[in-house]
Amino acid sequence: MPGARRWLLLRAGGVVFVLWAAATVTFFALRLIPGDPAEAILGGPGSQAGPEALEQVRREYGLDRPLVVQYLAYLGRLLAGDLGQSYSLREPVASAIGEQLGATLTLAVSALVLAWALACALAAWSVRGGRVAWAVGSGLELVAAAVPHFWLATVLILFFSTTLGVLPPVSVPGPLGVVLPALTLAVPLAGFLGQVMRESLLSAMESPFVTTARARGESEVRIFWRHTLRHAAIPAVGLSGWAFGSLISGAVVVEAVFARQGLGRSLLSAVQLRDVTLVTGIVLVVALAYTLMTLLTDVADRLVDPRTRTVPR
Amino acid sequence: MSGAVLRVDDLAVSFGGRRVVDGVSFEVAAGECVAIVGESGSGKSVTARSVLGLAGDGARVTAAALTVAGEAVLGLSGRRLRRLRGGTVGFIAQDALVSLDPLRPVGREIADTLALHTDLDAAARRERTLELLRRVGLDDPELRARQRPGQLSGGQRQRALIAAGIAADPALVIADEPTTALDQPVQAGVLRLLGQLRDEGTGVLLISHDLAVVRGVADRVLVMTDGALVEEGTPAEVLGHPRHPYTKALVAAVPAGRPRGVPLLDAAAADADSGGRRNSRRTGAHEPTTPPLDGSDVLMSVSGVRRVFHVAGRDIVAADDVSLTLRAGRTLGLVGESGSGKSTTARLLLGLEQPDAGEVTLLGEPWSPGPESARRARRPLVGAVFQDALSSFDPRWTVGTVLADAVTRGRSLRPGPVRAEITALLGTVGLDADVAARRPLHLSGGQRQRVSIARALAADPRVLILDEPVSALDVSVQAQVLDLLDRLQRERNLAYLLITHDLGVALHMSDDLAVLQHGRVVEHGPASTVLEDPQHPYARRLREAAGL
Repeated sequence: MPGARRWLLLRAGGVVFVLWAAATVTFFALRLIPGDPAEAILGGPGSQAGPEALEQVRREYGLDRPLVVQYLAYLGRLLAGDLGQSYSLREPVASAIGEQLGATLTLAVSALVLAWALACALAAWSVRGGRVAWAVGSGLELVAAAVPHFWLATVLILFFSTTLGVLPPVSVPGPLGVVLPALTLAVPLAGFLGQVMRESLLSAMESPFVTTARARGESEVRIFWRHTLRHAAIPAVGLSGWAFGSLISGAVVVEAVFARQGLGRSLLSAVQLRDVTLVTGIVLVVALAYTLMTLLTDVADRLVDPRTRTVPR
Repeated sequence: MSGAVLRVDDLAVSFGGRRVVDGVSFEVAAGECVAIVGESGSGKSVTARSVLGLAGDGARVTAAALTVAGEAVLGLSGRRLRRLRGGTVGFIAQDALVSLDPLRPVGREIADTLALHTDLDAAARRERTLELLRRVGLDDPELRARQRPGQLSGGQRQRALIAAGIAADPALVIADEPTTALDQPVQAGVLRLLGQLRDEGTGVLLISHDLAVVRGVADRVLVMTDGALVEEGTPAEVLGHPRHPYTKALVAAVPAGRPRGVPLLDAAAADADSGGRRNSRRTGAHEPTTPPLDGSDVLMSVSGVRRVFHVAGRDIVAADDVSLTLRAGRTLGLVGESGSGKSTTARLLLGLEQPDAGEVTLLGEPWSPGPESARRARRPLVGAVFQDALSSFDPRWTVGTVLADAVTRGRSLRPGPVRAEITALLGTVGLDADVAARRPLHLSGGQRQRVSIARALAADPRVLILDEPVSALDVSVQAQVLDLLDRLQRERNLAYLLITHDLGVALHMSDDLAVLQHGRVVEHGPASTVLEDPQHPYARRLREAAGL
């Protein structure tokens, strides 16, 4: 239908706009940092680089040209897909990110899926189990949403690796290595999603259409999966785009704790080493992932809640 | 009695020791329509739902016999009970946006009933769904089946609910308030459909608070109050010669056919709701007056007002060349179907909506269009009372806070006089002073509406805009509120604009009537002329639908 195509085009335009804004903000923010960028490239104020070396770096990186020209050149390089050269890794930023992106995306996506599964399972159980289960369920969600990643990671390592010995304490290649890091990220998110779902679950369960469904002979299990869960999921689906962003920032901690490869660890070391091109590159890639995820959640939202399709102009 | 599809003998339902249904016995035969009539809290809905085993969480249901088509309902296993629901007994809920899942097309909901109770495959279910939609009188069934409840009108939704209820050819259909919230012509159509079901041999149990609704379709009427049946008979017997005092009061409270100004209730009955406070005893009828010819009593005047909304690329004309006059001490009744522009007219008069053309004047001065700053000082002159009193209050405020806000209007006044004013206002609307400490949520519907009338009176207005003020109330409470409004009008010489979809209410309350259709005033004049001798075909149709 033309309405859907128009909508998608508009949203894609929005993604491009967000990326342009992120690129622009990072470009100018880095120019606002006090100090000479050429000096930073040569290793910071302590590097004692001579005036000739600084001059050469300025010419090489185009820092002697007017800011507007630099900005346009930077945008031009971005459009061509060139994110620049990492000073610390001595390789193109694009390939440095490429090596790490897969690991982080695997982690974030598995954490998101796991979080949704946990939240739905907990909701299903606490709906069926009466008043006690409801209270226990919402208590669990509160605790889950409140625990910090680093603490949860430590507890999970102690329990599953040290005590039970069933999972590796540090990330190893393969599916087994992703379980504990993903669980660490998923539990607080599941608690959060569950809290968001709980209130709409309650109002959906008291809605007349549930009575109508019961009166036509539907079982409670079918009513939960076909009707109430869908209503409860609407606000949580809308927040999943945001949640994905929080997963990537959570990955910074979790990848460090589990000594796992990924964008989070690269970002951490790039910031420590003041590798500005790498930081910029990672920021842009994260912004891209975040906007694409938001676009995806909007599509999911339209599937779950068809009413949002008929929004007036 | 053979052929009884429903047999209820000595049914009792209690919630945590509180009995809400007690000793109820009745039967419904195949091809018979039995109506249970009662007000909210009478136990009529719980009785109906007990038949489906859906009395509610924590309900204790006992009966000497509760059988549907010969099968005992009490003690059925979950699986057998689910086969009964929808299969043997069809349930038709009251229309609401959410009586069917608002996220799913209505066709899917109907097909679900078929999937649960028949062996039809998906293609056959689809075919049967379309057939059902056609049978309940929906045009273009293919389209309707794909639409969600929010895309249908109230009448269409109610028909879809009926289609879902009768999908598996149940022997008994329970219809719980199937016409509430529908416009009168649409109501008539839904009732005809239920009558048709009955004629085809289905047993129909109709639950309603509205005596007028059951009159046309029920074979027998059971009157229920406080969980017990108090009267039984044909509609003509019950409505014409009520024997039980409760039924007598119920029949008397119906405003339809009561002349303008004659109180609906006597003072003793009115006292029951107002917590013992004695209302000023009324004497005689409120005689309709003839307005002075010079127009000195005109408080508000609307001339040639037009308002167009642009929604999704389309222009919707909500008001088209509307001209009305509100006079001191007189009520102008504004009637019309939903979507005819009644509420837009109310908002235009309140200055909440600016007209695209034409103008509204208040006491001869320009009121709207114009900047809000020009209206603000005169806002106290125009008060408003809405249908949903509860949502018009801040739920965290007590009644006292709500009224104090209206009395002070943001000025800082000493608390003593404000408290005295609040007590006086509550007294005016027949409420005790201690109501001020309570929250709106903990009041009855009638008490809430009295509080919103008190709030509207706080600023000492000359004009009250009443938008469906009694539509959400039971008939006896409705009568009390209507009597109160009538008394206040006489005491304060107020001008009323009364918006209602209920022609009985309109006729009982109004000196003048205006009939709106598609944003146009198609009929306007003294009430007696408009409804007793309607000129416009639409007004004639309204009149017929109201059974007047």
